[in-house]
Amino acid sequence: MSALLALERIGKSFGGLTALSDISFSVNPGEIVGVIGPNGAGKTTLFNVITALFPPTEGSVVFDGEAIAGLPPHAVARRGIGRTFQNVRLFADMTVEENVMVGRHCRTRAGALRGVLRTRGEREEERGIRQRSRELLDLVGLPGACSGQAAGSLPYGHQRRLEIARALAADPRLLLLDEPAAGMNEAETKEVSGLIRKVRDLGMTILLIEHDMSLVMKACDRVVVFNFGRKIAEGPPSAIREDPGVIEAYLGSAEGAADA
Amino acid sequence: MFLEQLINGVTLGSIYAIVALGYTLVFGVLDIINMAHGEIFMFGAFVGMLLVSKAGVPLPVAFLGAIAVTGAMGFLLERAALRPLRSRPGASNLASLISTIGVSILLENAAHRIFGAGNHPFETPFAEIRFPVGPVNVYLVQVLILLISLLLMAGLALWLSRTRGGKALRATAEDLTTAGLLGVDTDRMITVTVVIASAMGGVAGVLIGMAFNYINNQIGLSMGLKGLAIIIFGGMGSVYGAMAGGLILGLSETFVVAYGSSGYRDAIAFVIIIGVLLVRPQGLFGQAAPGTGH
Repeated sequence: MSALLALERIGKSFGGLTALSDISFSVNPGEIVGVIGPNGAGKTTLFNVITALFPPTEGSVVFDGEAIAGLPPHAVARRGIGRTFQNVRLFADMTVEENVMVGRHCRTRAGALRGVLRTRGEREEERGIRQRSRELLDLVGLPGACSGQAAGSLPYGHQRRLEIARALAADPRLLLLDEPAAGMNEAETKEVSGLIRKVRDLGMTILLIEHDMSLVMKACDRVVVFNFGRKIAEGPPSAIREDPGVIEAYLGSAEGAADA
Repeated sequence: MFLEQLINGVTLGSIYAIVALGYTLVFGVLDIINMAHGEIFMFGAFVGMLLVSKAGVPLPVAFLGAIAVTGAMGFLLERAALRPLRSRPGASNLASLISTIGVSILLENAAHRIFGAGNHPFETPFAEIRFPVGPVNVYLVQVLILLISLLLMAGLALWLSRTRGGKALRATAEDLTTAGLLGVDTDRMITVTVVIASAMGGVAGVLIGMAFNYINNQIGLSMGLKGLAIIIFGGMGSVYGAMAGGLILGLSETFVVAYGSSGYRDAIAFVIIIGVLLVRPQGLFGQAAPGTGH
């Protein structure tokens, strides 16, 4: 099986500061791979490199057999990589439905004139988009009644779900989720975990940053552990839980733990 | 008297609104004031003047000509003065602000060279046609200006709210980075925005020529300053703020001239703006502070 995403010796530094070095791992189609590590380990930086927000200093990002580092972000999105953000980044002034529609932007084509004149093709396409966005809102568990509301007025948990729906609207093959359960209680976290598996069952591949270990252990097929910008372990959740290097990264050395 | 002044004010205000919309659209996506907008507006006026008064073509053709020229100027402005600075890491917004000031000086001097100083008559064949509506006489020109402005504003509002491109533009204006990560070609959206804004400036230029019957190479500066005042007054980046602000400035200027003194026209109009800003510093339709939506 060839990998959907292959990261080859990725390095990223900002000025003199090294955020990532020598990161290599791959994600196979249909997998849910978790990325964990202490704060500042470089997890979100990795997402930003994959989605081409900035280019890697070294190494290459290969998506579906194509080197994508160097493409502009919108081109990477069009090739099928969608993402959510650690701090929710919705278009707060736009409605819930419009947020999903913008997510669908790169899969639609209606021109400006057709839009203003409301031609039949445009109306049909828009009906299709509305239908799809209702399905997506339903999938992530948002009530259809909120679709006309300003996204910024939604409760926090709903905003996180809407962000997932917006990312799914572009029909991504690879979905990057940056702490989807951040700030959620136990019951909500469980729902998010169910949602992630539901999305995978729809045929998507998922790369997930998460601090909630119960979610990572339950949802992920494989876990990659970062510390100080390096990969320190990779394997199935059960093995990662026992890995002495990982335990040390999280709890500090035995000496450090005793001091604390 | 009052009704006539009201019509005059709304006519002038609707032109102001269109100029201000050009500023607001560009500010929305780029977070800078396009200081060359006033001069692009002036070129629209000159293209309209040459086509209507010198070439004698029908008015719709003059509008199309002004749209084509100013739209192309907007495209060049974006490609030559804005994009090269934007792609540089670490370049601040101020760099592109300064480069639009450079373009504005260039355009003003180019206009001086090409068209010369002094007033150029802007003659429309129907300048004197008027008809009584109730107790007042309404000029056909005023009706035309109002109709064209309203059509333009309604078209823009529809485009922004209904179309795929309009939604992408609003998304880009709200959060450029996120829009790009979602698959919106933000560079293309910025170009489209600057071209649309410039073409609207061009239309406003022809309208101002029709309204005042003369133009000169200084109108860009004064209109530019008014456009700036309007978007601050209406709320930076707010489309409806630009529309409302333009109408209010047009009306207050007209009434100051009618019932006060023409010498104080600009002063009193700006005192009103300052007064409103003291009460609502974010402008009529502005948000309390930019970026608090997140």
